Amino acid sequence: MRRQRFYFRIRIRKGSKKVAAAVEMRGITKKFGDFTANDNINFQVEWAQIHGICGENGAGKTTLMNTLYGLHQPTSGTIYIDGRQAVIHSPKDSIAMGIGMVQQHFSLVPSMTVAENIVMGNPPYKKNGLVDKKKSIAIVEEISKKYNLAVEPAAAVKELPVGLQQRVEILKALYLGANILIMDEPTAVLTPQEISGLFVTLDGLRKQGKSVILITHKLSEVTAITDQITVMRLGRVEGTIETKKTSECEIARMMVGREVLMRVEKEASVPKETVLDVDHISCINHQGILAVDDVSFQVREGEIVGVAGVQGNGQTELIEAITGLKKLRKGRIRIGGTLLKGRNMPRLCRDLKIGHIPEDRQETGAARHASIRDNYLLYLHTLETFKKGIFLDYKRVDAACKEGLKEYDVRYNRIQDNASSLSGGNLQKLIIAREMYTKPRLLVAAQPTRGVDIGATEFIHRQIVAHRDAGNAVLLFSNELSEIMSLSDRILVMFKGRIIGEICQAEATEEQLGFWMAGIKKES
Amino acid sequence: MPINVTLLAVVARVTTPIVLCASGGLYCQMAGTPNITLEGAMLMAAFTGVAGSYYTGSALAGLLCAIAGSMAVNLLFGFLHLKLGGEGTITGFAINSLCLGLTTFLLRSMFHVTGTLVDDRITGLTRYSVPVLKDIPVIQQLFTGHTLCTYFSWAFVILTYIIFYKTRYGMNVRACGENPGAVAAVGVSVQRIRWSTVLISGFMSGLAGAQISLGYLSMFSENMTSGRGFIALAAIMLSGGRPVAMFVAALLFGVAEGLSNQAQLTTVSSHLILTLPYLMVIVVLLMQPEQMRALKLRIKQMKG
Repeated sequence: MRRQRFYFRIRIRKGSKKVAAAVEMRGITKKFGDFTANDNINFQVEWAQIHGICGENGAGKTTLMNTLYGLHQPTSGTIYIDGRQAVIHSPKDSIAMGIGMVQQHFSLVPSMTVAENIVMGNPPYKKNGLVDKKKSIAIVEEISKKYNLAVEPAAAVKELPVGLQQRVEILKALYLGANILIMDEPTAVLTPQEISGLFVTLDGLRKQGKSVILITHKLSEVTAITDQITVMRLGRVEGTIETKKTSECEIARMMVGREVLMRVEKEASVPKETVLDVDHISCINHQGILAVDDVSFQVREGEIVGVAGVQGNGQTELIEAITGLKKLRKGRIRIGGTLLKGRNMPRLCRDLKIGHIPEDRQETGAARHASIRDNYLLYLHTLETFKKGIFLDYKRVDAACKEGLKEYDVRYNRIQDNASSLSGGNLQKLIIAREMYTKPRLLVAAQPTRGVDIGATEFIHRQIVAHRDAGNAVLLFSNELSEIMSLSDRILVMFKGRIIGEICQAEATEEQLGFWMAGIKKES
Repeated sequence: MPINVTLLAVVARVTTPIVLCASGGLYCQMAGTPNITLEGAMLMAAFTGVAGSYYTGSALAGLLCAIAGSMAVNLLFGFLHLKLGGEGTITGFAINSLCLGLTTFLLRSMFHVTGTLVDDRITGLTRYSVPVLKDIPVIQQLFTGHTLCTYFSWAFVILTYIIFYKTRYGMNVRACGENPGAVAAVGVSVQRIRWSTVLISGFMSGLAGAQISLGYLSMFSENMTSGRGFIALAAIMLSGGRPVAMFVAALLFGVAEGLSNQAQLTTVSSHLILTLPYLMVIVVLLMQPEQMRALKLRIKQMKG
């Protein structure tokens, strides 16, 4: 392992006339049963470059990178690392060849310290054979200085914000000698500030001669940081292009396979009656800390109100309060004039025609081990239309379910299959189809397009706007500032449980919202 | 209730199997393969230990047989749970039932006795006293006339502490339990780590079983462990993975058992007294810091 690293250093520093590519994958095919995830992929990454891999969900990006990292074996094809053919049976082999991978879900141990996590794969020992903690800390300080990635070595990982945890992951890969760093959807969990921090880091690695492979489906990010982009679609490579010579529109077209409208088209809003009236409410989070602090606002028929803010500033609790999932400490909520109170609040909210697209579709939005039909039927089972005496009228249910799924273009095999058989994007569309069925007067949409690919995002946005145009109210929560800015008629910004600013769409600038999100409020 | 001066000695004796068993099980717990077969493995070990001692007349052979018996049970658990992917709790329950039935069956078919096997040919484990320490008043009770298993159980708690927090193996074990992906990502086999913890647990349950059947009584009776494996499990759960906390919890149960042993000499109903250790488990489980915190939070949320 040591020798291998040494070999790479020489290679990078001196350079030869014709430098071999850092990674070359030739004719890679990967089949899972009958399903071909990667079909004859040819893929090449040069040294000292950031290479983006774009594609919709299920295009085979992660499968390809897992093959490179040795998490599974290709059905056929060969891999060359730095010009030499490589056989990668497990991550152990790929680590020895200088490949590191930062997974979408971090592989860190929360209760251990930063230093312990970083050195875990190959810790320094004392003479008596025990792990040398002092030296681990020294090593971490050294590499964190070398790559300009500040961390606190003695801090427990579970106490760090997500952005820093990701930094720990990167350091871990670098400690194990990574010269080729694979990053799977690294920005999905980060705030805008953390994203720019990550890009500085990646740029630094590029300057040190390392290669970075960036898997993403966010176009603004690939065009901002990469040198080359490989676009994948349906398990094949659609093409590899130089970032300088392309545009977001072109990449989007390659990813989806047709023209994509990059912005939302909508008319100016015509608000009418107030539907949701939130009146000085406060509530606490699951740790007993005040999370929503004296919040008041209204949402009217025919308008979309967007709530922006860095994750964890009380949005989750506000959503739960409005949909009856959380008790209020103070204040009142009225829906169309009716006060929210009683024993079964979520049911009351449903009966008052509130639709709820939850933040966490896996946990709150769907029952993964129940069938697609049962998931579609949640709440709808209480409607008289689907009842036949004390039984459900499954003929009508099946017909409605199939129709709804077709309208929202949910790709499924049979409605009897478990919901877990759906991909994230399809599950999201199922949830939206269900929530739209009752034509809710107020739609609370939290992260409606998180993890959903471009084609589906476009569709969901159109549905939300159409719902507004039909004279309903929409309350939108999103971590994507661009989504908030393009969809909302009015924008609220939350900071530390309070609403720190309100602005209408026409006057909103990214800069102004950014200030509010960071808690900076200029007195005028 | 008169508390006998020999209480310390009794506590040390009855705590030993719980500590041995729990510290082995702690490895499994930390590696993310909670092992509820402690009870069954210990019972099997108690039986094979007595059988080994009976046929060879050697205490050492008995001890080795006990370890082998417990290892076999844990290998079965590992095979069903780790290799074939059986659900851990269900597999564990099945194995516990199997061990109870099998030991009873073997006792009747091999020795032709029901209930309890007592025989002169069964040689108990030798007892040792620690020089110097055995002459200090009070403390001497902890160091006089105990089996090597007792002394080893204390040493193993310290050893476990060092392994968990100072060695790479221990780090891997802890990582396995919290995030198996972290271990796999640095190229270490999660499966191999988990197997190793199951084997450690097998070894320790073997010692615990030998302590029960050969330590002081040199006999075997049906369902001899009578739930000590589950008490050990409670100690593991209580400890939150810290070896020293696990030891303290086990000690607490030991004290309860010791007290109940002594109280049997009084006029209070002996059935009632025998529930003492189990009552203790419930009380202590309720007093867990996490439980208390959850309770406080619930009260707070009810108010607000």
